Amino acid sequence: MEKARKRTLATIIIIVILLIFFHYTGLFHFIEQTAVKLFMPVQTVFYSWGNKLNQLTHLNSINEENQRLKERIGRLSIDYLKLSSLETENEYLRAELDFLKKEKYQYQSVNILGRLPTDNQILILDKGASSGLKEGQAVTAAQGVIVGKILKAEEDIAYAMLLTDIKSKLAVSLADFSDTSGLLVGQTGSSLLMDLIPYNQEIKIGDIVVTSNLEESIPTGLVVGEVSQIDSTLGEIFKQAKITPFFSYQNLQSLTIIVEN
Amino acid sequence: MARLKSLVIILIIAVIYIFQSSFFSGSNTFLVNLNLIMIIVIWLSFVNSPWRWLFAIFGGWLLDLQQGTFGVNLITLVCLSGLVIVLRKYIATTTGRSGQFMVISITCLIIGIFLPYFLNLLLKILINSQALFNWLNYGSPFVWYKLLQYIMVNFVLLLLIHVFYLRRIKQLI
Repeated sequence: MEKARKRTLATIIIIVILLIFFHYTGLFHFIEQTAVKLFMPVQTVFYSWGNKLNQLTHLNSINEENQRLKERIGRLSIDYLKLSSLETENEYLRAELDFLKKEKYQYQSVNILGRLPTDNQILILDKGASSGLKEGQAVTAAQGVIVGKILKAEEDIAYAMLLTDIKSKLAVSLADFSDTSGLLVGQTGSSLLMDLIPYNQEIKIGDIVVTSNLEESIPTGLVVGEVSQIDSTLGEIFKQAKITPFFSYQNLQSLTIIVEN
Repeated sequence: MARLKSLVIILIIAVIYIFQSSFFSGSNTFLVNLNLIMIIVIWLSFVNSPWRWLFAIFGGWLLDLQQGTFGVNLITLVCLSGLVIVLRKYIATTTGRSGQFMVISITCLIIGIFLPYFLNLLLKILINSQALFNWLNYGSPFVWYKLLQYIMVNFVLLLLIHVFYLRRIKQLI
């Protein structure tokens, strides 16, 4: 009895060691890729079902978000009418509304397979390095609205970190062509903080925050959100601003990765 | 017959994995905290089921493939399975089987949280790759209320399974 138990234990240890050895030497590459590809379509469907459950349980917050977006559409419509009389500003709006097509960016549409259990702000995507995905690339939810960055790309899957992750950092500026710039960091919960804004630079509630040209793989001008609160203390070198994204990052289902210009 | 049974078990593990990795993680509710595969491994090991190793190895393999840190879940689940067997021997049953099960469950859930972090660290040292180093630096730091939430949700489910199968255990033990 004891001998049989020892034999089982030895077999289990050998299997575990072999599985790890085969993985790191690449001998199991084909089997692993097949398994990943086999599960991908089912996982996409299950993730969207999970998302529907989320929407059912968060109906109130979705209604609030809907209301906020409706108000925003109203404000943007007024802004659009005001700006359309000016040729240069009109060009800017067109660029914002149809960012990717106008700038001729290459992009990949991806589905979400799941989230990491250790950090639910990291999404698992159904495309990887074989589709041109690389670390640092911008993840957008609608054309021109950035929600995260690619953290790691394996052959057929990739991991994207949402901007709301506390370890996320992104160089940003204001969309009004002013020199105001800062560093966008994720906050616990679902808010964003624009930090390191020089005290002498102007920023006001309602300003639109976009990506700046400081990050190699991320195009300039991708919309992040709008300024909802400013925190400036006299005597401090930098100001901080709370940024509200245009929609909740919890209900994301399909995303677009900007691969290259 | 045994092969057919193994195949059915593998299919069950695959379905549980899909539920855990996609349905639960997309739901953004308390279900996000559920680690069904770990719970089943703990439970099967407690009732001394012969299928515990298959659950630990295949479940761990699938989770590792999804999470991109190969070996961590595999070793964690196999270790937990072994740990339950060892603890069953050494933890007194004077408080009854349910008391013993509670102590074992809590111990295993706590170890199940911390072991992957140590294994990640070990992997980082063993495989001196910059890409892996950057990757392993990510992941939420320990937030106590989240850890507590994780332990409580999984513990409650383990207790429910235990209560549901209490009569069966009495027959087994």
